Formats: sequence, structure tokens, C-alpha cells
Amino acid sequence: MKTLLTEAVRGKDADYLEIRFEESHVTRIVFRGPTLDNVGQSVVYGGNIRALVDGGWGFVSFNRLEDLAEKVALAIRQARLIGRARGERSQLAPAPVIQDIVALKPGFDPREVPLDKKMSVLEGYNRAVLSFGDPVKSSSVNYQDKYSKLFFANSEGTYIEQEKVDVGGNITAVAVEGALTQVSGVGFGGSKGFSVALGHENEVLRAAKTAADLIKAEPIKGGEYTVITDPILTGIFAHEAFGHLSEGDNVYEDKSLQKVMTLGAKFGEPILNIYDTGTDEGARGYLKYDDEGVPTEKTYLIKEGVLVGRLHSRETAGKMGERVTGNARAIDYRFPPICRMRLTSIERGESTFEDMLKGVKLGVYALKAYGGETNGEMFTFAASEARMIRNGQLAELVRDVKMTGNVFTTLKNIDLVGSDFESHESGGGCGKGAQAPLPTSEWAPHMRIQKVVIGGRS
Amino acid sequence: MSAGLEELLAKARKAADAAEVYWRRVSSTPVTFENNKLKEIQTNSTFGVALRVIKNGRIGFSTTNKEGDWDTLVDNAVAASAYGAPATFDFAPAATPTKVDVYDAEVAAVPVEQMVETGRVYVEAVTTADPQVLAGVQVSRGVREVGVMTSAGFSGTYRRSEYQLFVIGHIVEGQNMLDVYHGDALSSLKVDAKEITQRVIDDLRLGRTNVAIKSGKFTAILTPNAVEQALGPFEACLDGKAIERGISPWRDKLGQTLFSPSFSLYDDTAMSGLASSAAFDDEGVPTQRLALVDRGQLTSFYHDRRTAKALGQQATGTGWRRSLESPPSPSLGHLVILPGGESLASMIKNVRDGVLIDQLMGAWAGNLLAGEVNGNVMLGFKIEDGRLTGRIKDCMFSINAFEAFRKQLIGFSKETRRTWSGTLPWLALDGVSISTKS
Repeated sequence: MKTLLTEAVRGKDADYLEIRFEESHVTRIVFRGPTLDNVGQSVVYGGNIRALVDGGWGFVSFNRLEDLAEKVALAIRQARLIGRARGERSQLAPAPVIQDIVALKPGFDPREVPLDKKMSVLEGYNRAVLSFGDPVKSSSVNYQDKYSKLFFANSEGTYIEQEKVDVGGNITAVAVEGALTQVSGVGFGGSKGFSVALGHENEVLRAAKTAADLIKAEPIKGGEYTVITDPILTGIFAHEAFGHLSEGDNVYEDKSLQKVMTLGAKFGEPILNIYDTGTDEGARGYLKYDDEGVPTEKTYLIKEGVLVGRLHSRETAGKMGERVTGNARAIDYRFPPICRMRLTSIERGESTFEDMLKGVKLGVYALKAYGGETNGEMFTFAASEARMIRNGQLAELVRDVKMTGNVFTTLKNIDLVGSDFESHESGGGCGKGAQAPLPTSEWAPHMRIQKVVIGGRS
Repeated sequence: MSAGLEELLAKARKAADAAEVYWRRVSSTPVTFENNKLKEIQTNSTFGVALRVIKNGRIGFSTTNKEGDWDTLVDNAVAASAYGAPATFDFAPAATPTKVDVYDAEVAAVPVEQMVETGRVYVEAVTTADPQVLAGVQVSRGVREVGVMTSAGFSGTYRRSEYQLFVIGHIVEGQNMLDVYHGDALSSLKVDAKEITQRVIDDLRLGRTNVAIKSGKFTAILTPNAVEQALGPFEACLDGKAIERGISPWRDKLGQTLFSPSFSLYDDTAMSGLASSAAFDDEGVPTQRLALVDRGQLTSFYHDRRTAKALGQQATGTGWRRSLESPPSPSLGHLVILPGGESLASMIKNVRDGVLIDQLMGAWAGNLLAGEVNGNVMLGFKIEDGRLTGRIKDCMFSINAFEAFRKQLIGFSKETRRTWSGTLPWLALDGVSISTKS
């Protein structure tokens, strides 16, 4: 493979050329209620070529390695067509030339775990939810593991073979009473193999109980509240509210946004530190090299309230005169790499949970998330569980809690960051454009935010 | 059809008791303009096969992109079947595919240079209207060939051409951001790029003025984009799987009138000319125009072969694969709501104090099975005395779709528009909650 790929990118008439190729083996197990919905095994096999000529990109994806030379020529032809229209100089930030073979650690390969072992673990969780009893009426279990062998070669002399593993799953309890349905779930995930799927029995039971309790909860009244987020929701906040805004491709050609996102600008109180890293082995967002062959790192986005960095591909870094960070990622061979997050975190602070409750007359303690979304300036995310805070005390459970806000105002309204820290993982992943789900992680502490708008029928 | 796939079916039949082969060959060439400039041209051509087998009364599933590696594909499916779901249904029997015209040879013949020129023209139209806008356009052409073959006798293929055009406008002013996008996808070149671009220009113009809004209840007009989001609970609650699992509140409500008589909802993947139409679904059931709600009455759920059999109902031609690697599952293809009698202009004119909602952020992340549709108003406008006065921001829109389509429905417009996944009218609702900072 090495000779084939390195020869294909050598000496061609393009400013930059790269080939990625992958062979992945995927196992999926899905339960819907007592029904086993799917047990399936997939082979994902294909590659792509990216060519850069005078600032224009040509991209060609394919399944058959046999056609490589013809595909390379097509990618260059397409790039040249754009290059003529743009008439620019190609700008890629420098990246080290790498020659490396990255093998999996022993015990990480999910293909070594027999299918019946995986089935029995997941079936166990599913049974635990279903045997909880009324009002828990149904369940869902989604599990996927993926072993990938990735090949990368570029025209600068980099050649990398990487073995990678991604395991992720979600278990959901569904409670139903009359016309009301409430759900609560547990997620797990990691890059260390099947072991991350083990040992979630207690969390699964807790999720079933929460779903049952939520049936009796009243919907929250819409309005503005002081909110304490649990580590899971804090992580989603870091990802949605600030991570996406920090992606270099949103900023690099947008002069107005560059003014807002100037390095050195103050975004929050000195207690606020946000980073994104590819170096935490075991996280779903772990990777040694990104999909442009750039070594990953720990990239601070906000340090003591001040903007200090962003998440770059070689192109966005090059055009902004900044250094590469190893954030160019693609979900698979069908897509070009774009600026994406890896493991995004809000750094541990100094406050205890009691500190956060103190002085909150009317507030909300929001836990876990269904999901979130952002357009850069505004964000929204849904808590899957929440309690009112009344006079500094946790009070009744409420449902249908969806928070929204302006990113910039909300970051400034973070007044306490917890001294705890949870390395939470879940199944699924992040979506951007047509590329979803990408394995990412969010690890974080508790956090308190003032003046959060929560939707709800008044 | 390639002889290789016949050979695969034969191999799978030999190794198991029944088999279904699904294959697709997709080529697409998207041309992308970003931040006013031509950015990227892609040529994607992918081939994939999915195999389902029934062996010893259990289902096994496997997929591959490695053409010809049938032994691995069959082995993987047979191995999965040892732990697979009980085979409570059969693969599709022989049937006549629906006649639907979704192939136009002109689409594949469009030169890339012409797509580049189209993109350039409409980027220029947007930036000429407002030089501060960063415009994006994506023009894409492609062909999708799909085939399904089963050991129970179904064998069919279809070919669909796809032409898409999206126009995006983006403005940042201080910490104020505005994003507008419109687009269309057809199986022919009849996409009206000029009209799509004009919509973007109009929304950008109106969206540049922010106006204040206080929490309260308002008359809301939902654009077809927003109506599509408001239909999220219908998608969740009519899903054959949700019915089978007993988690849909409508599990025992078939035949009941749950909604306003002015509301009729269909899923239609048998319409000619659309990039969402097909001759049969992804497990070989002919497509149709399926009535889900007829004048307020719940008339049908949507199924794949398995859920239809489990509930003793007819297969509905709605068993689609979300990706090659996912087996067929009940899915909606193209939602249609019957239009009303009033014009959009007159609907807006009749609102004294209200809102026009176009894009909601995060509405998919709520409790859809409970009917909740709430999201940040990413793009919405204030209506005062029958006139759109400017953009509203930093507020949440909340409805319960079950109640909204029963008690709050004022009416649908006579105009409709194609959205990402439907052909829908504008919808006026009474008493919609908007919450914002106190």
C-alpha cells in the first residue's frame, strides 16, 4: 500500500496532493424494546484524493483502488478549474513531514470480542430497563464499534498508517402513561475497546427510575433562570456554545467574525478555561494524527476568560497566519476533512456544588442532554432531567427543559465552575454539514450560569 | 444489473434459507462556492451492497463497499444471524414497481463549467443586493441507481437523476449574526435558481433590522421550513416502530379524529420529478401516496415490512435505509400537507401582533413523543398591524404539536413550497408561546 499511495502523489502538477484510504469493520447492535432490531456487520472500504491548485480544491472519492491514477488526474483537473477562477496562491500552514505506523494497544480491538459476549452485555442492559416495571414500557439500545485501518500519504512526503478504534453506545428507558412519554438514558464510549461498554448496570437502573419519575413531573414554566449544569450538560455547552464557534473554517474568510473572534479578546470571567484536545487516550475524540496527517495536541480556546486559540485545518491556519492544531477530520473516506472538535472540555474550577446552590432563590439544576445545536451566535440544548432550585435547595423534578442563549452573553454569565470533573462519553457524535456522526467527547465539571432563557409554554 | 449481484443472491440462498440483496451505485458532483468564491469541486462515486439473510428463523445483516467480495459479505450476514432478531416477516415477493418518472438524462450531461457559471451568477446576485453578505452556493448533479432482489421473487432496479441548488447568505455585524438559506432538489434541471436566490435576498434584507419582543402568546405564522419542524412529533408518533413498542400516544387511535378538519397529511414518494421519489422502497415494496391524516382523522401509520407484519397491517412502501450500513426502517420520504384557501399575503395582513417563524434551532432535540416542539428562533420576524417589521432574536418558540394541530390551528395558506423533505403550505397558529429574557 505504501508504494502505491506514495507513488500516486509524487511529482504531480498540483500545489498539494493527498490520498486517504480506509478499511473499517463495523459491528452494530440495536434493540428497540424487547425486539432485537439489528445485528449487523459492515466492511467500509474506500478512499479519496484531494488536490490543491492555486487555492482551489478538487476532491474525488472512490471504492476501487484499481482506478487510482485516473482519480488523481480528475482531482487535479477539478482543482485547476477552481484555481483559474480564484487566481490565488495556495496557502497551507506548515506541518511536519511524518512517517509513522500507529498500531493498536493489545486488547483494544473490538473484533477480538466474540459477538455473543457483546450481545449478552447489551441484552443485559436492555432487560434491566424492561424489567423495571410500570411506567417504563420500552427501551432502546444502540451500540456500535468500529475498527479502522487508515492510510494517508501526501505530496510533502508524509505517510501514515493508523489503526483506530471507536466504541459508543446509548441505552434509553422509555416511560409511558396515557399520552405522555418521557425518556432517560445512559451513554458510554471510548477508543480503548469493548471494555467501555461494561459496568453500567447502576446507571441503567437510575435512568429507568428517572424516566418513571419524569412522568409525574410538571413541565417547567418558560422564563429566565439561574442554571447549574451537571458535567454532561457543561460539556455539551462547551461543545455547542463555544467549540463550533472556534472552528477555523467559520472564521478564516469572514472579516467581520474575525473582529469578534480576535485572539486576546475577553469572553468570560477569569475562572473560565476551555480547551479541545486529541491527546487523551481513551476518549472518543482521541487521535494521534488528524485526517491531514497533522499530529494532534491540546489546544486552549479560552484561558482565564480570554480567547487564545481556535481549531484549525492546514488551510484555515495558513490563511489566518496561525499554527496547525490537528483538527481537520472527516467521518469517513467519502468526505474531505474539515475543522472539527476532538475532546472538548471546560477545565476544573474551585467551587463546590453547595457553593453553587447558595443564594439561588429560583433556579434550575439541569442534567444530561438530548442534544444541542448552534448557529455561532445562539445555541440551544435540551436537558433530559432537571430539578428546580428554590431558596438554595434542590426541589421538585421538572420536565421539558430546553435552554437557549446568546453565546457571548452566556459565556460572560458563567459565574462559578465546579471543582469536580467527569470524563463523560456517549454514543452517537457530532454533526456538521453532511458529516455525522463524528466521534467526539466532552469532559467537564459542574458549572453555574446566570440568566439563562428556558423555553416553555407559559 | 450486474451478473455479480445475481451470483451474490445465489450464494446467500445457498448459505441461508432466504436472502435479500440491496445495492446502490451513486455518483455526484457538487460544486461549492463559499464566502463568495468558488471553493471546491467534488466527484464522488460509491458503490455498496447490503445483504439480509434468514437462517434458522433469524435475521442476519451485513454490508460492504468491496465489490465482488461476496464470500465475506455472506459469511458476516450468516454469522450475525446466529444472534439475530427472529424473522417474523418475509422478504418482498414479486411486485410491479410504481411508475414514477425520476430520470432525466440532461442532468448527468450538465458540464461542470456550466455549474460553476450558475454558482458564480447567483453568488453575484446575492452580493450585489448587499455587498456586506458572504454568499455561498452549492450546485450538484448526480445519478443514483438502486436495486433490490429477494429470494421471495422481487427483482427491481431504478435510476434517478438528482439536481440540487442551495443558496446561502451570511452576515456578521458586531456580535449579530444572520444566516439565510434556501434550496431545492429535483430529478430534472427545473430548479428555479432565480426564485431561490430572490428568497435569500429578501430574507437578508428583512433580517437586518432587529426588533424587540416580550414573552407572551402570539399569533404565529410558520413558513414551510418551520411547518416541517412542527411535524417532528408526527414523524415520531406515526412510526411503525413506536406503535409496535407501545410508546406512541397514538398507538390505539387509528380512525379517530385527533386534529383540525383542515389538516390532511400525506407521505408521497411516488411523485414524478422529485429527488425523493422512487419506484419502490429499500426493501422492494412499491411506493405510494400514503394518507397519514385525512381531514383531522388518523388514517395510517408508516411501516417497514417487519412492523407492518407485527401489527397485522399492510406494508406502506416506507422501509428506507438511513445509510447503507443501516437495515430498512420505517421512514418518511416526502411530506405533503393539503393547502388551505387563504393567500399568504392575506394571512399576514390579518395579524395585528404576531410572529413569522422560519428556522428553529434544536427543535429536533425535544420530547417529540410528547408532542413538544420548541427551539430557539434562529430566523423569525415580528408582524405588527399586518406588516413584517424586522427580525426577532434570543427567544424560544414552544408549541405542543398535538394541541397546536387540534385547537390552535387557524389555517393553511393556498401557496406551498418544497422544503428539504416535503411540499408544505404556511400555517397560522393561535396563542403560541414565545419566551425571552425578562
